Order: sequence, then structure tokens, then C-alpha cells
Amino acid sequence: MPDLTGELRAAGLMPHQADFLTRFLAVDAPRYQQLTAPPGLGKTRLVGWLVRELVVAENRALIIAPRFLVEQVAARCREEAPGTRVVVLTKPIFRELVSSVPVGEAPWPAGAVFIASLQFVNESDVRQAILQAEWGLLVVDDEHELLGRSGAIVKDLVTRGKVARALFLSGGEDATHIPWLGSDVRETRWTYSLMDWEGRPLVLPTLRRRKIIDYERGADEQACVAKLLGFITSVRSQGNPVSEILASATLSAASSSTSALEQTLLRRRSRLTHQEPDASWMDLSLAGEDVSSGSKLPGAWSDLEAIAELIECLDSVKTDGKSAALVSLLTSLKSRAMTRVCVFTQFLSTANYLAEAVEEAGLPVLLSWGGLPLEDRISLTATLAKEGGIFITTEAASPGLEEARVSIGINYDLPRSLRLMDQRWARLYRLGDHRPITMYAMRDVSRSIGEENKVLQQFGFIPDN
Amino acid sequence: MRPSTTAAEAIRQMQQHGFSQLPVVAGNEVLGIFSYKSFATGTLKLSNQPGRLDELPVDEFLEPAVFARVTDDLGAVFSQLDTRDSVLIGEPSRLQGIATPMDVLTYLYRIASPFVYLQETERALRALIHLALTTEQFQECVRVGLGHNYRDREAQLPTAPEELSFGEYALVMCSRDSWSSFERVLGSTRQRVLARLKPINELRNDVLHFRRELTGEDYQTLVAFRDWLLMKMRVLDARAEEAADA
Repeated sequence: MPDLTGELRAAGLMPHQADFLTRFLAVDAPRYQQLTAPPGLGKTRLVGWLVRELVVAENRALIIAPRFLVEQVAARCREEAPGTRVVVLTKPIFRELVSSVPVGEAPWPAGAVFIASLQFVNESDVRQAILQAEWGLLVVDDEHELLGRSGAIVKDLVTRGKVARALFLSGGEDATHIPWLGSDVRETRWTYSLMDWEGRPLVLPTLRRRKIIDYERGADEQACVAKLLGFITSVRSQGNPVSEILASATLSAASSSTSALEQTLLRRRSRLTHQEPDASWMDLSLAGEDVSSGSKLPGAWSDLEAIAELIECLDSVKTDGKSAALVSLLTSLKSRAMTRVCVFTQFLSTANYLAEAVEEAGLPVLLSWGGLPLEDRISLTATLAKEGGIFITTEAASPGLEEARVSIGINYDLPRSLRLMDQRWARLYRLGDHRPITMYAMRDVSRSIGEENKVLQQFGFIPDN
Repeated sequence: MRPSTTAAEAIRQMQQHGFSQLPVVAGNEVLGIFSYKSFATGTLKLSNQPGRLDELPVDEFLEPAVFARVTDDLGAVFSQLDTRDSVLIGEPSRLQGIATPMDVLTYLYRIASPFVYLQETERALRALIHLALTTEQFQECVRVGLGHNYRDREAQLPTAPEELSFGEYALVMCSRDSWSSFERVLGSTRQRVLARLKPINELRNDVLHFRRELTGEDYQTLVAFRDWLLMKMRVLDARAEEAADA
């Protein structure tokens, strides 16, 4: 399809995107396609183009994306397919759609694309309505979710023949084997070794620099961490899957900042006080795990007194070697005219705390998190691009940041997986950029939390011993 | 439920799914409601009927369905909910849903709870300020923390915690000069407390200006912050009691 390729090139798509689209749209293309690609190679733009090419008057598309990406995917579809009605599904919108058609009819008008999270499409009434309709295009971003119980809706759509064409996206290393897709499926894998139209590498690994910033936790902080580790050890000895998840999450918060740890413990305390069900248990259940043994948390996690003691211990912590090291690094970068810096954290409480600490040091701060409306996040990114500043962001808020061409990233804490680390790198790249990028990570020289060094090794910041 | 379904089967279904009533439908047309109450009433009426009453079809036990439209005022259906335990939403030929008193209560709780949490949080903040500062100290903290914002209108400076806006709590409690008074009450550090207070202020603005519906995480943040304040107040109360005993 030479005409389409030319059109795609003129529209600014890269060869790998154009190639994928032309092959996807070919008459003899397989019905289902899996695309595995690390972040930053333009998958979302591809989805926008598929909507543009495939959603016509007589059919409709369903896009299932991670919750924090739903708005971004919608924005991309609106941009790439301006004539198509793009609907982000919420409960009120779904109710309006249902009440606009006769009873028993599928509430999805043709010529439109509907975007929702996997959690939303699994709500029983939404699920039922989705299964009623025929879909011209189905896109699922994060296909690895499909193997859990919550992925059953996609399996039902496929096995009942409700989907004309489907694309399953994955950010992992390999495509997930999805047995119910059958044989009419093609796998494509993109890597960072892709080329631009002139045959130049799109991403140069040699331009990725990793640096370590050392800091030391103060004595008061170390004492609290030691107390926490004792608590975590007793939690882990219970061998309960939910306790283990909570233990990992708590250690991760402790590794981020005292603020994040405080917030985690305060929430745990509130849940216990008000006898609320445990979110981790519900997450596991949704993922299809057998959680019958973990529905009641035994021992330490239900020990309100022990948790209150830990909170009290944190109240006595007055030092923060880590944030002081960050401020010192930022000040030094500013003195070297590095005006656009991005600080990544997993935790909103850490982001809020850092915003205070950095602002107090007289540095310009832009704080972005997933709860901000998309237009506010875009406006913050535009300010960063235009005026510079220290952009502090959580994982959920960072998509779109690549437009600001930031070349220095600081991992205030490390993400939970290599995939998320790749996403942080991708936030600093635009497709085809050949600028050197430096990514910093923080290392506690007192090594209070042993796991931290293993994670630094895993992400390539320090060599394996 | 079809009109020919037996009462026994209908009751089994209701028990299995935890419903107290079911609409009885022929085609798309709602004929009425079968409920525990309608069955009991019908049993009395049909007591002279030969054979087992629970084997009769549900349309022998129907009570008339009351409909409300989705656009109707909630208050207008309260009396129906009170007397009938449910209201059908839509029209007889187009049933869209069933609303029960519990649905209404859950809905009202969901929309009211952020206001209640915020009210409790604000009251706890005021109480903490009262506990932490004398009137003179409060006025000094206000002057230091808010003086800049009230330049040329000093006479309007708040004179009691009840006169502070939510955003002003952070300025009064966490300014460099007044922090020492609050540190002994709140513990932690000024920046960490500020980092906790500011998001609550943003959530408050989102709620009071109806900008968005709060997420589960927002609720957790609000509740955890309120609980933290209440915990601090209990500690202060205990200290005050100890001091009185001494």
C-alpha cells in the first residue's frame, strides 16, 4: 500500500509504525495481532491511526487501557482521527448511552470509539452491554492483564466472534501466550534498535547515562527503619500472600521517603480502625488469585498498636539525608544551566513532600500527578518546555512528558519493574531524538534497607557483585 | 421473572441473589412486582385456594409497579421507597433499573461523606490550634504566617482559628517562625506536615467546587489525615491529663 505509506510518512510516523499499520490493514492480515514494544516507540499514536483507518460509519471500536492512560489514549485518538466520536467511558456516560437505545439493544453507536479501563469494562452491566455488540476493532493495552480473571471479558469477546480485528499491546520483553486467540494471530516485536526513514537509529543506547547520587540516612531515620524491618520480618514469617504484598509495598514506601512510609502506615491504621476490607486482597482477587487464605490478615498487619508505634517513631524523625542530597544535586545542576530536570517517584506523598523541600530551596517546581486533569498535566509540560523547572511527577502523571525534551531524570525512588523503568527512560525521549540523556538514582550509603542495592543493580545503576 | 414462574422458584431466586423483590415481565412490559410482602399478602387472600400456594405462578401475587423517571427528583420517590421498599426506574415498557432505599442511602452517603470528613478534619485542625496556642500566640502566628496576604488590611486578620480559611491553616501552622509551637503537637517535620496539608486543601476545593468525584484513594487520604489529627488530639488530651494529675 504505497499510498498509505507515503501518507503515514508525511504525517510524521516512523517506518516501523508505517510498516505495522500497512500490514495490519492489509486485506489478508491475520485477525488478531500482538505488538510487543518498550515504551516510547509510538504505540499510542499507532492506536490513533488504527481508529482513523478502521472506525467508519458502520462499526465501532473498543480500547481497553490502564486507568491512568485512558485520557491520554483518548486525546491521541481525537488528534489522529478528528472525524471520529471518541468517548471515555464513565458510569454516567454509560447510563446515558443505555437510556438512549431501546431496551435490550447494545448501547454503542456506530462510528465511535469507546475507551475504558479493564476495571470499568468488568463492571457487570458494562460487561454485559459490551458482549452484546459487534466490534470492528478491539485494542487492549497491557495484554498481560488478560490472563487473570479480569481478562475474561476479552476472551469472551474473541471466542464469541464479536471482534473483527484486534490488537494486543504489551510493554514487556515477549508477547504473552494467549491460548484462546487460536492460530489467526501475528506477533510483532519492536526494540530500541529501530531506524528512522533515513536509516539512522531511532534510539541510541550509548546516549543513555546512568549516575548514582549517594546519601546517608540520619541516625533517627535509621532507627525507625530498623524498627520497621523487624516488623516486616514478623509479617513475612506468616507466609500469607496478602501480608507479603503489604510488606513489599511498605518497604517500597520506606525506600522512597519518610512521607510515603507515614502515609502508608496511616492508611493501614485507618483501615484497621474502621475495619475496611484490604485493597491488596481485592486486587489479588480481581487478578484471579485464590485469596481465600488471605481474606483475613493474621498477626502483625492487624496489630494496631505496633503500627501506631511505627507512626510515632516516624514523628520523631527530623533529618532527611535523601532530600538534602536531591536539593544539593538540583542546585548544582541549576548552576550548570541544566534548566529542565524531571524527578520521578512512585508515591504522591513523596512528590508532595519533595515539592515543598525543593521549593523551599528556592528552585522552581512543577508538580504533576495522575489525579490532575489531562489538560493541567499538558499545561505543566508546556511550562516545563518553555520556562524550564524541576518537574516532579508520579508514574501515572508522566506520559506526554517527552514533548518537553528533558535530558536529566532523577529516580528519587526506583519503580517496581523493568517495564516501569523503561517507561521513565521513554518519558525523556522523543522518537528520533539523538540527545544524551542522564538518569540518576539515589543510593543510601548506610544501606539501611538491604533490598535497595539489589534493585539498583537490577536497573543497571551499579554493577553486579 | 416471567409471570408463569412459580412463587417457590421466585423466592428461591430472591434468596439466592439477596433480593427482596423482583419485577415480573412479559416481553418488555412490566406487569408488577413480586416480593416477600406481596407473597404474604396474596397468601392471606388466597387462603381458601386448594393445593400449595407456593406452586401458583407469581402473577397471582403481584403488587402494582410504581415507576419513576431517571430525571425525577429524588425526594419525590421517598414515600414510595418507604411504603414499597423499591421504585422501578423507566416506564412499564422500558424498565431501566430498580432503586431501593439502600441504593438511595448508599448514594447519599457517597456524596455526603467527603463533606463530613472535611468538616471533621477542619474541626480537628481548629481544636489542635486551640490546644497548641494561647490567644496571644495565635495572633502572633497569624501575623507571621498571614501578614503578607493581609498587607494593608491588617484589621481583617483572623482573630480565632474559626476565622481561618482552609488554605490559611498551612500558612499559620507551618510557617518557619510558628512551626516550633506546632512541632510539639504534630511531631514530624514542617515540610512533611505541609506536604500532608496541601493535598487536603486541594481535595477540599475539588469537593466544595464540585470539580470532580473523589476517587477511592482520595477518600483514603482524607480519612487517614483526619484519623492522624484525631490521634494527635488524643495524645494532647492524655498529656493534659497527666499534667493535671501531676
